[in-house]
Amino acid sequence: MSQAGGQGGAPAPSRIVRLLFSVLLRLQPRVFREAHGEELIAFYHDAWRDQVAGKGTRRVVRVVAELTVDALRSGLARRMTRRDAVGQQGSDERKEPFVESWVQDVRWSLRSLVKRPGFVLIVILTLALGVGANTAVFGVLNAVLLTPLPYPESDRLVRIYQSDRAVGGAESYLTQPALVDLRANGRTLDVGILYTYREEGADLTQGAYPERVRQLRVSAGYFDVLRAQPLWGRVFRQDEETADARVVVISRRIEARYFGGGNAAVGGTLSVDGLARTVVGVLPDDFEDPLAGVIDVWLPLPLRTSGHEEWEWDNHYLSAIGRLRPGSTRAAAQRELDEFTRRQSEAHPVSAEGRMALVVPLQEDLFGRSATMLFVLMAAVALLLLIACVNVASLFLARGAARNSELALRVALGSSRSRLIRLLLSESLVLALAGGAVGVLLALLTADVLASLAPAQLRLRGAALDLRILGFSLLVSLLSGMLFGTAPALQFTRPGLSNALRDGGRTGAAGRAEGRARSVLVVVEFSLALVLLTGAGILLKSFDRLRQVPLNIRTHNVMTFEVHLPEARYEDAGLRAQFHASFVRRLGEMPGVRAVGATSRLPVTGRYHSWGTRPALSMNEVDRSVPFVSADQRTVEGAYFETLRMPLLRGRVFDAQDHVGAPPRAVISEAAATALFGDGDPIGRYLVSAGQFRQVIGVVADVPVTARGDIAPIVYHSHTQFADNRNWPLVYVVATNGSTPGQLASARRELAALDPELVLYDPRPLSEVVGRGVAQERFAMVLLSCFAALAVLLATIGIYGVLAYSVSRRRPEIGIRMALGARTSGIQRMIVGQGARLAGMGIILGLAGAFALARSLSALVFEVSTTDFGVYLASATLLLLVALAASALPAFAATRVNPVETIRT
Amino acid sequence: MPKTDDPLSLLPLRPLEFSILVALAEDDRYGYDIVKRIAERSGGSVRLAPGNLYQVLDRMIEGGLIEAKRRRDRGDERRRYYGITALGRRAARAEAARLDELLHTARGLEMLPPVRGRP
Repeated sequence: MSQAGGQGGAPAPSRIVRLLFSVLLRLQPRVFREAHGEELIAFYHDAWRDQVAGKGTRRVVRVVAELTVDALRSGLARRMTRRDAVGQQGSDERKEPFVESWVQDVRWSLRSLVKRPGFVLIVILTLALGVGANTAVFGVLNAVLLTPLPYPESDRLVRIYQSDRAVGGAESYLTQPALVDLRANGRTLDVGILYTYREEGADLTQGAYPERVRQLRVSAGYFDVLRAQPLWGRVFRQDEETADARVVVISRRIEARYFGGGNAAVGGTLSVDGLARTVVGVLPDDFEDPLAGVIDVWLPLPLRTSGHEEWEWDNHYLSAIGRLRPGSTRAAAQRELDEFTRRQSEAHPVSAEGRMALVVPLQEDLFGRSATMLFVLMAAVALLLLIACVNVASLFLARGAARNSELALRVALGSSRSRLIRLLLSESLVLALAGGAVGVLLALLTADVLASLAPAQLRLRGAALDLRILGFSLLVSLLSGMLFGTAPALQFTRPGLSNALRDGGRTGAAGRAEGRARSVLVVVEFSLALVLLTGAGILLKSFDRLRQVPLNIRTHNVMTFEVHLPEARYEDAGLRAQFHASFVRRLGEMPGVRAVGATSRLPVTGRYHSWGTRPALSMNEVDRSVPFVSADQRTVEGAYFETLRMPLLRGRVFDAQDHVGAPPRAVISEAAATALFGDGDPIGRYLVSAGQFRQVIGVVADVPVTARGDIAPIVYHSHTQFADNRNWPLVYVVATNGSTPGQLASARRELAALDPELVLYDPRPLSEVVGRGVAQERFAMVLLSCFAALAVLLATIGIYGVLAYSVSRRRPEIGIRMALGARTSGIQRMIVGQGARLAGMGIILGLAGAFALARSLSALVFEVSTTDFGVYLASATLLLLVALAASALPAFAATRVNPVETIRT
Repeated sequence: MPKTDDPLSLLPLRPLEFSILVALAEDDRYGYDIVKRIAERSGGSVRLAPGNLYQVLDRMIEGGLIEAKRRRDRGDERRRYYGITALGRRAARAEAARLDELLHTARGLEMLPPVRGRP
């Protein structure tokens, strides 16, 4: 006995596939399922094992598509054949072989479609819009949520946080002693430690011109956690985790640029920020850091394994990722972290205050917040596709009148109903696939635009067409074809088709029924359009609210860039202070420059350098009656406050009297004044942060730390006085009159005149820096608005079609009315009223859906209620107006009816 | 398909039915096995889909050309085996003879190249 297809080594189909088989079986009528259900399932399994197991995704997609199409077709045909049992005797008994008739159908479809290029073009374009939008959004979803991170076994990577219950949120940074303890003694995790508190750059000065690249400080085990293999050389050893270690790991790009390719780099020297370092390893270009993105040089992170001082247990500045060890689970790792935290906070109370370590899967940590937005967008494009299909179905119905005679003829010649349905469906599928192909093309073309619009945290890189996306488009196209093809196919093959031979079509029952069907479709379209329009309206309003958040600073015509003074050549604080003061002066003398200042961190870019701050009784005595306040520290140079137009509320800002020899002074924000000194006047009083005592000389207005308007207390230090404390890079803000060209180049020249080896880094307008904070909201709003606009367009076309058809059908009636004395305005009101009624019904029907979509947006909106009456009213009104406008032309055409002509015919 | 004992009244058989009878004449087979065999024999040009297959099989059972067998498959007990009946065998032979006659005529009219060594 022979057996087809080996069962031996082929794996069983997965659960999803088995579910698919059950679904396909369900498409068959019950009678068939009872007779052949089991063996059909066995057939699917055999086909799977024989054709798919061990083959690629392409084969899988093809086989699934074939089986699905066959199940749909045969299930539908069986149901049709059952229903018209009467009158089937004369039908086609001699069924042609399956394959041949299918090809014949396709050929027939192509022939008949070629005869109507206008119709075909509109249908394909409409479908292309729907499928293209779906493919584009799915492409984003695929890249962000469905594609695993590019590291081996990335599902075992986690992010370690510390959450501070006292402050009420997640504070991501951890302390050195806590992490070093975890790394040495943890059993469930391998820990990689890195410094991402500030995006670090490094100046490479070996080339023809100085270049600033992205730098990252990492622990020795970091690369192992990510399983990053160097192309040449090695990664850091634990004994190199010191500030003195003069080693560096570089990227392939840097290696090619400075060492000419090949193995030459390892052992060579690279000057980083003026310090000569030995290259110990080269990493491939496709390696990307999960937290910091594209990095060019890695330096060892200085870590001590013991001997930490007490204050270090409260110094949060490190990030950590971990890899679950074999056999460990997330839950076990979380339990171990809790245990560590408990033990550490018992031994070092300063690190306590309700802190609890969290473990979050890395992929969810990176993209989880975007998931809601992406799912909402996916739902929106699905609605858009639905509208497109409805539009196309309506077009098919409209075209049907011309078809009736041909189909009736076929019935008379013996074609069965199921055969006719198959014929019409094949035509729908051909169009659907063509539309889908154009849609995929559209998606590819717009992929780059989409990537540039998307928030940076999604890390989109433009067009990437993988098999999953293609498979999705194919599925969507096929479903669309089925969706818009089925209704017309059923409609046109109803019994009584032969009557259509005699019927002129337009005035009879067939015409009326068709008109009704199309009206229903238009109502559906309008309801869907309302849903999308409302969603877009809410996001628009929310975005507008966001943009109106008062930032209290000038953002227009302000240039920003960063200048970093390398430790090697600017070790002396006095030298640094002098440099920045000189640079500010030179910039101020450039033509077109109104004011110049610099700061350690720009406003509206998040909390940064948050130190515990307390009021003090004098320059050496702390006021212990007031608890610590977490205040952001900033150093400023030049006319920073004037440049940004930050109002001075009390006292004065820094000036020439605040030099190095003078007593240390501070300017504080309103919120800091209230937090530290209550209602009292803070001028002349003292504060202390991280051991530094300062006298308060001025109070400035609050400036938000986030685009949503969150306020934090801020303490400003004069850079001249602060330079010996820290070497923080300064970000320059240069207010210009906006009309002088080439100012950036001039700034670079001024910098080079002071020190040709320094780099003017990351120049950006301040408005763009601030805008980054709302990138996600903007992305969602722009996309949803586009979809809503498309939906309204399609709905308009739909309603126009229905009304135009109605007018042409009612010509005799209109002619009679006019002959009997009806005025043109009355006729027009009749038509326009019809349009308004259809739109109105659609709007009412759509309200429920609109509520549902709006509710799903609640996570994305800012200061807008999802049941905002104004938005709903505006959307409904807009749709109504659109319907009225679309009715105008048919209404006008109605009045052009010549009553004499129509009565005569 | 009306039930009859006379194989000649069933001619001409549909090409698909004939292919199925030939496949079953070799051996009893289950659904996918039949499809695979037919595909092999036709060089991949005839590919039966499951939606069509069972419909045709039902019709052939009705006409008495094949029958469903009670047979347990070690690999998958959901599979149902089909076997050719005596009537089916006679019908297949009759159809084969008819086709052979047709080919012979065609060769005589020089529509096909002559086969060497055969009349």
